Parts: sequence; C-alpha cells; structure tokens
Amino acid sequence: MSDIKVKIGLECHCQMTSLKTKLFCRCPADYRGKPPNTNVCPTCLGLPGSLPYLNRRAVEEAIKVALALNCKINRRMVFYRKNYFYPDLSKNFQISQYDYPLAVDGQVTINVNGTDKVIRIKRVHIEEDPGRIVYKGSIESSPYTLVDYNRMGIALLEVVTEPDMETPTEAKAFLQELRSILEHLDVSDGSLEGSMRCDANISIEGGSRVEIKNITSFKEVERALSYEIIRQRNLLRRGVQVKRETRHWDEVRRVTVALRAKEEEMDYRYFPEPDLVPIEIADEMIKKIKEQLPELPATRRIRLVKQYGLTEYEARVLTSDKHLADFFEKLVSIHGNPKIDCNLVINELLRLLNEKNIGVRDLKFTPLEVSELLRMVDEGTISWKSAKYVLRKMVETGEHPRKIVEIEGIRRIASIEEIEKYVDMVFEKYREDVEEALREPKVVHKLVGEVLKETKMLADPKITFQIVSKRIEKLRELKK
Amino acid sequence: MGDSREAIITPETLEYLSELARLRLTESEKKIILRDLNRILEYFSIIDEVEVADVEPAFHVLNVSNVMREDEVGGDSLTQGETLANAGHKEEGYIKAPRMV
Ligand SMILES: [Zn+2]
Repeated sequence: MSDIKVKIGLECHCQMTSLKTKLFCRCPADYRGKPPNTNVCPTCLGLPGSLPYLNRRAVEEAIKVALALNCKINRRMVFYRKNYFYPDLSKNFQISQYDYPLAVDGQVTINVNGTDKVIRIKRVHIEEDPGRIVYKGSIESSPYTLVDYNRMGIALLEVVTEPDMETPTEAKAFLQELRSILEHLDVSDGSLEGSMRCDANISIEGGSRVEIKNITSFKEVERALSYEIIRQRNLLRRGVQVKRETRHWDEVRRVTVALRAKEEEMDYRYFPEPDLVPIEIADEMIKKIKEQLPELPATRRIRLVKQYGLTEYEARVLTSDKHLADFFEKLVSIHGNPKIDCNLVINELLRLLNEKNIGVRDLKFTPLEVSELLRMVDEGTISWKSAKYVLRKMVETGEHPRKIVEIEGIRRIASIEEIEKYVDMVFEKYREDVEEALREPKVVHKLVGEVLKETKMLADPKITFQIVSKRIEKLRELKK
Repeated sequence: MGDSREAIITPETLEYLSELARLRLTESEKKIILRDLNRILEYFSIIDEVEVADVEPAFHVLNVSNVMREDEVGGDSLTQGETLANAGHKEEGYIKAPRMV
C-alpha cells in the first residue's frame, strides 16, 4: 500500500450548532427532532418577496474558526448564488461563497503514530445547509424521495484542505483534530447527527482524481477512503485507467457507487447574491475575536503535559475530544491524582465509551462520582479490579458507585484471618496442586488464583499471594 | 436581427442550458427562446464596448456593506400546512420528489 502514492483532500461541512438561528432568517437553528417542514419561514424557503438577513454571530463564529485554523481572513467577503436544480433546495440556488470567501491559506498540524504533519487549508467559507432528503429504503432502490426543509438555511462552515493527506488514517486524524478545534471554540457539536459531513477527493499515482460524496459522518471517512483506494489499485493493477468521476458513498453496503455523468457535470453558474451586500471585515473585529479565542487543543496538550506530568500521548488522547479532556481536568481537580485519574479516563472510561458507542456527555454521572469510586480504592475498601467493574456498572446504570458496591456486596478482603479461611478451603480441595507446588514454585500462582476465585475476586491479590507462599514454604520445611 | 450575424447562443448551448434548468422544451419553444436569448445578449453586448480595465468590480448596486442582524429567534415561521400548501405531491408531512440516483 505504501509503495504507490495516494493523495487525499477533504471538503468538510460543519454546522455551526451553537447559533440560535439559521444563517439568513430567524428560524431556530435547532431543527432536530421536529416534525418535517415545521422549522421554516418564507426566507429560508425562498418564497417570493422574502429577503435574506445575515446572522452576525455566524460571521463572528466563522472568523473564530478561520483564525484557529491559521487562515488569512479576507477583508471583504461576498456571498454568491450557486445555482442547481435539486429537491434539497426549494429556491433552486444555495447561498454560498465563491470568489472572496471568508478566509484562505491556513494550516492544521496532525499527528499520526507520533509524527507531526502539516495539512494545508485552502479555504474556509460560510454557506447555508440544504434540506434533508429521506429515502424510502436505500438510496438506489427508493422509488421516490421525501423532502424535509427544516435543515435548510442552517449556517454551515465549509473547510477545504489541500490534497496533503496520504492515508485514510491521516484523513481521520485531520477530521478528529478539526472536530476537537470546533468543540474547543464552542462553534460546533460534533456529536449531533449530521453536524459534520464531508466529501473527499482521492487520487492514486497514475490515475485521475475521484471525488466521493455523501460521507455523512467523520467516522465513515476512513472506511470510504480505504474502500476507494483498494478499488482504484485493483483497476490500476489490471491496467484499467481510473476515470475522473464523482462517486457516492453507500453507507449501508459500504461501497462507492459511480454517479451518472449528468449528475456530476454541474454548471453552478455562480454570481454575486444581489439580495446581500458585501461584508467588510475590519482589523479591529479580527483583533477582538483573536483576543477572545479560547484555549485550543494544541496549546491544551502542552499545558496538560506541563501541569499534570502526563505523557505527550496521554495528552493527545485526552484532547482528541474536548469533553474527555474536560472530564479529566474536573476529575483531577476533585481527586487530585493525575496519573491514576488519567489512566482511568483514557483507558477504562474511553474503552467503555467506545464499546457502547456513546460520548462523554451521554454519561449519567459526573467526575464527582468517579472521584468517589477512586476514593474507595484509595481507602482500601475495594480493589482496582473491582473499581473497573463498578465503573462499567456506572456507565450502564448511572447508579452511584457506593450504592453499586453496597448492593453487589463488593468489598476488598484484606484481613489475613479472613483470607486464611479461604486458603484452608483451597488447600483442602486441591491437594495434588499443593503437592506439586512444593516442587514447582509456578503452581503457587494457580493456588492464589483459586483462592481469589473463592472470594469472588474480592480478596487483595498481594496479601493472598503472601499468605499462600508462606503456607507452601512452611509445608516444604515440614517435609524436610 | 440575429439570424444574419453569428449567434451568441447556439442550439447546443440552449440544449445544455435547458438541461441545467431541468426544462423540457418543444421544438417551437426552442426556436422562440433561441431568438429571444440572442436578442437579449446582443443588446447586452453593447456593455462589452465600455472600457473597464481600471474600474473596481461592483458586487452590489447599493454602496452599503455589513447589513447584519442579531442571533435571536423570531420572525414568521410557517406551519406544516402552510409550508406544504403549494406542494403538488406530499406524504406524511414531507414533499414528495422524484428519485435521484
Ligand atoms: Zn427560516
């Protein structure tokens, strides 16, 4: 795979979900979960006589993003009409940008396997989201489509990269960093369905550029790109030329499908939107926004390493998701043991989140409850092993850790007297193993394991090991 | 007028434009539109004679910029009934459209 050069560029569409209203009208921006075609007005539908009215905060938020992506902000920005006839736009054009976009020439540094790489940003612009098309069954078998315009007019940020990525992993890393930046800026909530979508263009040495449309979540990008690379390499291997074309990512079948030539040969006939005047962005405005920029993932990473003594890797895992890093910092502020707290968050908690496919904010408990859990370990009430079990129960039920421990009778057996009773039982039951352990020290571990099992894993493993070893030692002495 | 000189819009261009506009034109409509479009564009071609090399491009007829509003919910939202009032085909609150792919 590494011998042939692959070039990947991304076009990301991110909804500015922190806005209260749409881009050009006062309809609520929160369209999710509403009955179809109820979150609309004459302006976003483009009914005759209506006029678009630009949301000031959308411009300010977009400038925040452009600055965070190290872009040059254009002092004059102009909106254009992008004309196309497709049911997702009821007015038959989308208000977007063309020449004079908001910003150009930025860059983002990603890290894959410990190596930094700069991805150049070509442009950042503002546009309105089209409506949502619902298919009856799959996109290909659907006899007709249903259109819901609730989403139409939502403020969208388009971020276009140069073709600087060489693997699907790098593309994924870029999108993760972009998402984390947008969340640190509080511009976009990536966990909302459809809030971040992208198109990818990909070319393999010796072939033409292929565009993949309709990748509806950042998670799907790696999959779509991996499929496309294999498809193109197989063509090249058979001596077939890779055509320049637009393909559609079919999420269900997990393949890319060629679109008919007619659909890709779009002539958008852009022209300046006559209903909107140009926007002049003053230096003072940029300066003011720059001064108010919050801490971004890259600086946060450095601070986490410095402040808590974390490794570069640990800081990277935490900041890949703003809410995970927030959770960790809150936990440390209560519990105060960075090493243990970080370990719990990036290993135990993150594993559970991935397993259940949920986000940090879906958790039914806060860092406070987790600190209680860790305190029980500190006090010696429960073992680390039990703590991991309780954490899983917390994720599943949202129950308070002390309550879980109480109900399930979880405790840490550390009393020598109590453990010895179990040791007696095991030594009685596994006589042969005891005999063997006298000759073969390795068998001691088996006996320890049996004792722990008898205690339902509640006994302290270290103390148990000491007791068992001592017992065997004594028996050996007696035999002599 | 239009027939003797070289036409700006050829029948092929008209074909392409009607494709983009999703308009199916009859032969007689094509004839009329071809004639009209060329007339209009010939009329506009007078503008081509103006020297504009040193002129800043204008994006808007008004010399106004930065018209923006605050991010507050309001305005005249429509009900589902109002939204779908002029839709020819609808189903369960959606507008029905032809299949795409
Ligand atoms: Zn509206």
